[in-house]
Parts: sequence; structure tokens; C-alpha cells
Amino acid sequence: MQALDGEHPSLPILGLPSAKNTWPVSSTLPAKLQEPTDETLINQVTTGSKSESTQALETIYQKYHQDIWRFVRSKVPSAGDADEISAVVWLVVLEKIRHFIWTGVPLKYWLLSIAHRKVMEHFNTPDFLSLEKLREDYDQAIYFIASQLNLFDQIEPLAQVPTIVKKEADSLLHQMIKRLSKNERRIIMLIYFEAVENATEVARRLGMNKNTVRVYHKRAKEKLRSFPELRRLVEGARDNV
Amino acid sequence: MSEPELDQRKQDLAELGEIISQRHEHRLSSEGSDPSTLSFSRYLRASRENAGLSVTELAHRTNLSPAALLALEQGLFAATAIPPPWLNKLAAALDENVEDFYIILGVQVPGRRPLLPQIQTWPFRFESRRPAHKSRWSLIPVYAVGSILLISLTIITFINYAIFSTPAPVPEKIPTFIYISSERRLNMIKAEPVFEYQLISLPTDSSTKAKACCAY
Repeated sequence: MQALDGEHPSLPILGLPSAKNTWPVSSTLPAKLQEPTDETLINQVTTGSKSESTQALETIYQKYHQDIWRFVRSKVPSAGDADEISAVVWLVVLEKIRHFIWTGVPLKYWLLSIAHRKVMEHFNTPDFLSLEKLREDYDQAIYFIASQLNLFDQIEPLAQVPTIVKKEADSLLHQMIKRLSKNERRIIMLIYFEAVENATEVARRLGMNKNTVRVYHKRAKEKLRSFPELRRLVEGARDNV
Repeated sequence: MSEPELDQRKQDLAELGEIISQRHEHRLSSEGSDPSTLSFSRYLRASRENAGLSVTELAHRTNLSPAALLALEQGLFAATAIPPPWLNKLAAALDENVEDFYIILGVQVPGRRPLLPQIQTWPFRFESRRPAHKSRWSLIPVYAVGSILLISLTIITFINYAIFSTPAPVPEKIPTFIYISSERRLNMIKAEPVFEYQLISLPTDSSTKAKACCAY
């Protein structure tokens, strides 16, 4: 017990200096082992050098990714969906973190709020899936494709398209462009997925003549209009007129 | 979830973290000029869904990690940071054309060098008036090869003709003046009385004889 009090009996014999500190020993950890606070991390990400910023982001990821994943997993039925939504959360973090302003609210809350929003977007459907709802989503997807590709004159673009409808539209268009020729497919692909509207830009990307692109585009639109998925929409538009 | 699955998921999440930090570093260095791969990610996802595959199944088929696929589908990679072998594997697994991937990513197909710079370094220096119309310029090598062949053929023919051909035989000169010896000329003059003699001395036929006499 004497040793714990800092008065070891062998001290005078060994000639060691007596310990000034009494129990409990209060020693601070070296700075490197201390976990950086959220504020420090945010400051490093936003104002630090390139290496500091990357290092800080890595630390944030290591610190919180499991919490994010667990939170998402508790809300969605499959682990695959949880992986996907977590990745989307980190994509948002990547985009926004450089403009993050520290207000004293822990970083975890911000991350969980993004995760919550993304889960809500994922479940932008009612509690039960009805056939009517599926049909409505399908129709919206077809309408979205037609408006994106400007297939009909009467069509006005939708104000807000849910993510699930966009995904369905992507999938449907991918199926449809498989039936087009190589050049037609590439032109539609660039216009729809890449949102390239200028014929010159499309021609540059494909290494083709601008006028050739226009001809192929016209043919592709005609073919798409004749597909059964979109024909119903044309007929509906005619009926309305 | 079983223990190996959990370990695998932890490993995937750690890999995703590395990809995210790389992406962040890339964005910092490119200062906003980094092209987005969101269009490619949408296309890839649509293709995977139409093929009826989950991320794990596709990862198994392509020998890529699920984290990498997840990052590709979320547009976490820069367009230039996606390794070409990955795209080849994905195209093969999804039955897609790999060139479509490059077009939608907006990057040059590896291994295919643009033709125009190669030709421009040629001594003749082609000047491109309309560089946007690559389809016209892409025919230049065909024209160049055709022209070279034509010129070579002409030179070979000329050399062959000049060196190895034998000169054509000179046609025999036809004399403009036909020399007739005086003896012969005299003979021709004498020929007329002989002719008369022959007519008179023709045998038997009285009518012929009478005609001959009248003619004489």
C-alpha cells in the first residue's frame, strides 16, 4: 500500500526522486490517441489540406458507418437495401460536407437525419402495395420517359417524380432501347440518361455527323412511339384531344 | 446473419469507406470539374435489374466486390477512375456492349487511339476544317492507302515499261515511187500488139471472132 501512496520503501536506497503525484494517477493520453471531436473533424474536412480532409472523412466514416447501417437496417426489410441506402447516405455526405457549418449539433444527428430521409424516399409507397398503385407508378414511369425524350408535343414534364418511378422508368427504357439499332440506342441513351439535348454534342460524343444524328434520332422516336408500352399513351393523348 | 456474412459485410463497408475517401480526394483535386457518373450508374442499375440479378449475384459473376458495385451504382466513382477491366466484366455479365458504357461515361475507349492526330503527324499535314465531323476524317486512311497504291502501281508500271520493254519493230518503209525498169516498160508498150495477136488467133468461135474483129 505504501507503493500506491508514492512512498516506495526502496526509493531512498535506489536514489530515485519521490513521486509527487498521489493516487489516483492523473495522466493525460497523448494527443494522437485522443479521439477527435466532431467539430475538429468538420473543421479538418472543410478547411484542412487535402490529406487532412481525406483523413478526417475517413475517420468520420469509420466512426459512424456502423450506426448508419444499423439504423437503416432496422427500417428496411433486406440487408441489400440497407447497403444501398447507406451508400446513398454517404454520397450525400460527400456532396454536402464541404459546405457544412458547425452549429454544435453532433455529427451523428446530421447523418441519421440524412439516413432517415433516404429511408423515407425508399419507402415512398403506402404501407401495402396495391395493384392500382403499381399501375399508377408504371404509367408515371411511361409518362416520364415520354416527357424526357419529348416524344409527343402535348406532353408536359412532371413536376416531381418520385425516385421509385424514376428507377422504374430507367428500367423500362433500358428494355425498350434494346429493340433499337446500335446508333439509335446510343442516341436515346445519351438523351435520356445523360440529358444531352444538343444534336451537336450527341454527334461529338458518338463521332458522327450532326445531320446523321438527327435522322437516327427521328427514326428512334418513331420506333419508340410504335412500341406497345408507349402506344397506349399516344392513343390516350389522341382520345383526350 | 451468420458470422462469415457479418465479416464479409464489415469488409465490404470498410472497402466502401476507402472508395468514399478516394472519391473525396479526387473531388478536392479536380475542384468541381470531375465528370459525374450518375448517368452510368442509372444505366448500370437498370441493366442489372433487367438481367434479374442482385448486387451480390452480379458481384459473384464479375469477381468484383459488392462494395465496388454498390459504389458504381451510386456514382461514387469518377468516370476516369473506373478500371476498364471492370467495365469489360460488367458488360460480359450483363450482356451489354462495352462501348455503350464508354459512351455514357464520356471517356475514350481504351486501346483505340484517335485517327486524326495520327494522320496529322504525317508529313503532308492534313488540316482539319471541320473537326466535328469525324466520320469524314475517318475515311482519310482509306483514301490515303488507295492513293498510295495507285501511285505505286503507276510508278511500277512506268519503271517496268521503261527498263524491261523491248522496242517495237520499225515498220518497213513503203516506197512511194515504184521503180519499173526500162526493159519492163518497153515490154508493157509491146504488150498491146501481143494482145491483139492473141485475140486474132483465138480458136473457132465465129461470134467471138467477129466481136474481136469489130473491136479491133
